[in-house]
Amino acid sequence: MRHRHYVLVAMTSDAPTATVPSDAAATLRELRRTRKRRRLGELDWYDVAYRVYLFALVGLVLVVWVSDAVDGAIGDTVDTVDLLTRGPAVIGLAVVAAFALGVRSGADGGPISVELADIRHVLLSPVSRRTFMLRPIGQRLRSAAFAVGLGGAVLGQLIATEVEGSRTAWAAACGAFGAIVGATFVATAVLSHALRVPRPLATVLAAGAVLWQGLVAWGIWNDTTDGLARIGPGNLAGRLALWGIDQRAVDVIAIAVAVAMAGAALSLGGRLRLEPLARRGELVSQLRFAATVQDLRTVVQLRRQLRSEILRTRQWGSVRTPLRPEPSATVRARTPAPTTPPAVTPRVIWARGVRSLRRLPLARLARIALLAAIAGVGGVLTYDASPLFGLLLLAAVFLVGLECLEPLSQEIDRPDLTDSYAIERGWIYVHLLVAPAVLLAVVALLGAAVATAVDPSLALGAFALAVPVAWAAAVGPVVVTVLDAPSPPSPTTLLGTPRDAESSFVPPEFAGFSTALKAAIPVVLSAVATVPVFVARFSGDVASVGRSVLGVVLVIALAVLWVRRRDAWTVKTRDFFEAGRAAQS
Amino acid sequence: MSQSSRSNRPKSNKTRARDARTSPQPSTASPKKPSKPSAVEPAAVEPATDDTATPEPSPPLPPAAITTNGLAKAYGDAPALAPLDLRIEHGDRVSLIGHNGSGKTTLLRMLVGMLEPSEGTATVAEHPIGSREARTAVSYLADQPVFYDDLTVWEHLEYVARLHGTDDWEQQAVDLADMVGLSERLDDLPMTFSRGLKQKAAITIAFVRPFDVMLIDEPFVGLDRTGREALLELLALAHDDGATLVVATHELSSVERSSRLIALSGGELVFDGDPSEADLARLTEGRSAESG
Repeated sequence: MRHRHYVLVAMTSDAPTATVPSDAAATLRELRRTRKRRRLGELDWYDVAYRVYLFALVGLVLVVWVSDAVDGAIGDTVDTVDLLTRGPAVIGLAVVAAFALGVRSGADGGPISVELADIRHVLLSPVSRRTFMLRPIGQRLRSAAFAVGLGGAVLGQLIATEVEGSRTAWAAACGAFGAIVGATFVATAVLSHALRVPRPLATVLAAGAVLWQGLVAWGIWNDTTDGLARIGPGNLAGRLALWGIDQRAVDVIAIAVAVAMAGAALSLGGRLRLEPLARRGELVSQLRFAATVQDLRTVVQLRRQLRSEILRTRQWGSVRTPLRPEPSATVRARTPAPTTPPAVTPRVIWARGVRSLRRLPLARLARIALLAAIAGVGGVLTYDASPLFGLLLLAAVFLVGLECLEPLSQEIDRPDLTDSYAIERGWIYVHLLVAPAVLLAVVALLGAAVATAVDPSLALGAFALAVPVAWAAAVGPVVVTVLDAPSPPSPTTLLGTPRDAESSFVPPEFAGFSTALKAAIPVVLSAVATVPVFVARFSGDVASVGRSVLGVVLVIALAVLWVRRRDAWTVKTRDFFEAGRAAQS
Repeated sequence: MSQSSRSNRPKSNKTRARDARTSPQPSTASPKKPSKPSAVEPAAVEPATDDTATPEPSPPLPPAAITTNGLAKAYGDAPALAPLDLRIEHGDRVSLIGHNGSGKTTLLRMLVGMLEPSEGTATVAEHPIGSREARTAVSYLADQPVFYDDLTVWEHLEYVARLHGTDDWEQQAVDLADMVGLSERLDDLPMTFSRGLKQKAAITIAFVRPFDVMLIDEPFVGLDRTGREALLELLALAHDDGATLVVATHELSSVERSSRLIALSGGELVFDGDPSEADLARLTEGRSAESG
């Protein structure tokens, strides 16, 4: 009530200079309490409990299964002394990478997002922004530390199957290390954002830190450094992860540093800029929805926007501005339309695709290269170590496919434009695949080069399989992208019900199932790409590998045919059902 | 109109040539056609006086630019557009007015093939809406400009022109950009533009491709004076050149340049005739005012 009085007084013309209301913090607490009460009141607790139960059950089964698969895969020859000597610097790369990512994220306006309504009504009011931001920053720190810590704990108990030390000790040590990594990322990002670190400086800081730790790790691993040159910024945290074998008091400094950074982030939270907070608030709400409906492509796109990753105005390799005619004395306002739809050469579409790819930002190209390298390593490990690494290979090649499909993605996301051209959509879509296919071939060769560097004996196989594997892995991303294009217009569904009323006739169980199916099918299709690698591992026969490659090529061809003819097939299917209904009636 | 807009800078040869083409009164440069008997014109409908009279077979109508037969749209139970019968002749310049939610955008989006009618049929340039032939003939300037993130304005112009089979597009593109004041931004990505610049880019793209019929939805939103007057001039030139124009707008000052006015209210046709005969203030007032 006092707060309302303050506002009313401030609005009158003879009001004194506005002063910060003393009970603003209490008002804020009350507002949050009320909203929380309402939110909790709307929760279906049975549903929440069921979801937690499912998550725990599936997680447990996965952990046990992976533990069984890993047990003995590396061998019992791990030298713990060697691990304690060389491990910390290498493991410490993770915490330094978190620092690097955090600095960059903060420079781009991350990592905190706040509801738009809170920005308009709370952050623009004379309430202490620091007080308000304590909660979102605290929540972000907590959730990042918990999520990465949990991952670390799971990994820790897996390590315990191969290295000496109890499962509990390993899980606790790696969990603590994970929590440090998560907290470091969030705290660094908030500090970078609050201190207005310019993007170029952030890039230099990030690259410098990673380079430093990388050189230290390289030197220690190869025994080429000593003295001060062995000190890296992530060593103590990395050593903490090995507490499953041996505990050292000085390593606690890593925890103290992480806590201090978190404290600094909380105290400087009031200095975060409103503009990126508002932008992220909008994007994050879309992201949550996309994640809820398992729309992987939208999630990837929104993540790019969250990172402020925009396409380049100037294409890579363009050195001069194009020559254009001078404006003429008379303007032609209209060219009469031809009487028949025009014939268009595919080169128009190919050129458009090339332009699109030549505008990919450096960060995205670097990500594509990194994913190619991971795919190369994943392929070698799948062949040499364990089939489980096939998952790593699949994830990397699937994401590379999504990253390279920018031209198709642009066209699919603007159906209004596509449908205004007097050309079949499928024809445009197919020709928009040409430029990404070329890029994927280059990326595949990069992956093969990395695989060769890891295991030179696999060079021939890596280079022979790289391109078909990369193209086949892109089938899933292509399908998930093309499925986002609207179907040819029709007032009724296949069952003949009005399209407007369609949703009301779909039972929730079926809707959930179809959503899950839509998310799973592209991944399953891309998984076909890994078949030649598995065939090579398990049979080792060149003829068998060749046959599997033929199968992969057939899948690629079918996918291209589907993209080209999808609309026609949809219409034919509808006509078929329509004819059936007509015959029945 | 256009002359006054450009009076704040020295007139180039091009401007003078345009002035010559549109003088003396651009608003009357497009000759007003007599009000046509439309399929639905409430004011003109007379009850039959002689039920027994045998109607004479009417001569076949010449091809129309746009026809709708019972075209309607509903979202679930909510009607957006009541069944509509229209016939718009080649070369007509039609203004489409109505309050917010009256069905203007719905009608245009159905005619361009982006929205599926709930009932009825329609043709554009004598072809079913949404067909390849219709898309060849119709250019649509939407109320919300849409662009690719990865193409500059110039590349949009090239892509769209070439996809419509036009090879000699460059000179026209340069002229159009110069006219709307976009010459300096041709190599920029439209995603970085303000609302007004986006609208100018959309106008340039809509005019660079060949068309016989242009459907335009709220074209003046966000435009500065230069852009607004350039658009009016382009519309006049295109109309002079024989194009059919349908402009949905709240800008009543632009209605007087039309040869025909169609007004919608609550999804229903409430006026179809000569703009000079219309009570524009009444036709565009909101639903609450009407009910009040």
